[in-house]
Amino acid sequence: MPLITLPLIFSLITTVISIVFAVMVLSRWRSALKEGKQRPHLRAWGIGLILYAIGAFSQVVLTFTWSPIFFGLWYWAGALVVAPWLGQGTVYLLVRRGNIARNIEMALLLVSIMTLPWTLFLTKMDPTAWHAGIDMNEIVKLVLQKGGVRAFVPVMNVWGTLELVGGAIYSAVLFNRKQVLRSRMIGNWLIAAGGLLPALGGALVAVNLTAFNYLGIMVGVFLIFLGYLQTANATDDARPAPQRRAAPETVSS
Amino acid sequence: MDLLPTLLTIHYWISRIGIIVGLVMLVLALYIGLVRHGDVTKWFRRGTYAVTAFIGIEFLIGVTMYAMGARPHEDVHIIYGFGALLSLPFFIFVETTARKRPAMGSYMWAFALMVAIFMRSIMTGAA
Repeated sequence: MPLITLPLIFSLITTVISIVFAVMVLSRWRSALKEGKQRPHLRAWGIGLILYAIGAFSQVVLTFTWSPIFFGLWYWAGALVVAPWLGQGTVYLLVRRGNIARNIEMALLLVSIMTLPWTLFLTKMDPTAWHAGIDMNEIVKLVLQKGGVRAFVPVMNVWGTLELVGGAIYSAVLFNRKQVLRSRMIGNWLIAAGGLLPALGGALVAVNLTAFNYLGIMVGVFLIFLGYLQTANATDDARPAPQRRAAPETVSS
Repeated sequence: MDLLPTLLTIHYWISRIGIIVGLVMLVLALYIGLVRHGDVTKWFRRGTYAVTAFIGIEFLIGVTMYAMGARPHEDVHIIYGFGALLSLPFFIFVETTARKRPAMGSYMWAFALMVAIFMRSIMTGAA
């Protein structure tokens, strides 16, 4: 089997895009912090993007060699925690009441910390199905036993996708209705589409259609990146709206 | 007196009492937060610190028993032990640093999660 496969190429591109994206988001978070401004949504997205990169990079490593640590990292980062961490940024922007967003982040942190050593050290893996160049999605059910840490996957993914996609759509609809900040509205639609693609790819894996997953992940992070740039560079292009109420800060302000 | 059975007994009872105390604290948090719409009281916070200290003792007993060669029924019991230890401090951090008051919601999350983790811990710890 040739080693240079489409999943490998997609994963390499995804790794590069997510690292660049993570550096941009986290630098912005740090500069805001230095100015005394709290921007927890940027921190949450930064963590999510690092996890995105870890998942994609692990697939690159696993194309060439079997490593239980990288398989564990691929599964933990890519299948378990990336979606809710990306979604957590959206929660910070949309849920302003009390300390709800901070508490959700703590619950997420707790689950992330618990599932990491569980996946890496306490989950039995059977590498006999692995060979060089294989797409991990094709063998994941053979490598990992049912139950255990796998039980967290649907919960975490539904949690993350609802937050990310639901939040982005909600913001976009809100801006559209108020006819303000058009570029941010477009950005939010891009983020929603970007969040939906990996989820769709993951759903297709569940029905053994693995080919679209890495393409979905790559295009997904690219669309989120575009959406982020669109919203981050948005100038105040609001149309005059005298009765305009204060809108949420929006995804990726 | 043999140390291991003694530690096992203490570990057993702290976990069972922990669930009851956790449930009581959860009900109190719900009452203060949702019914009275009040903020965290001094005594409630002290109670939370006391529960955290007991979980710390429970964790140390578990570590000691592990070092002495005892093993839980399932390995994942160790993960739930870590989870139980971390469940309250994370939310104590949120509450004590919260700018928005009241912040009783943090303890509702904390004790609900703590009780759930304790239950899973008990299910995976005993043979």
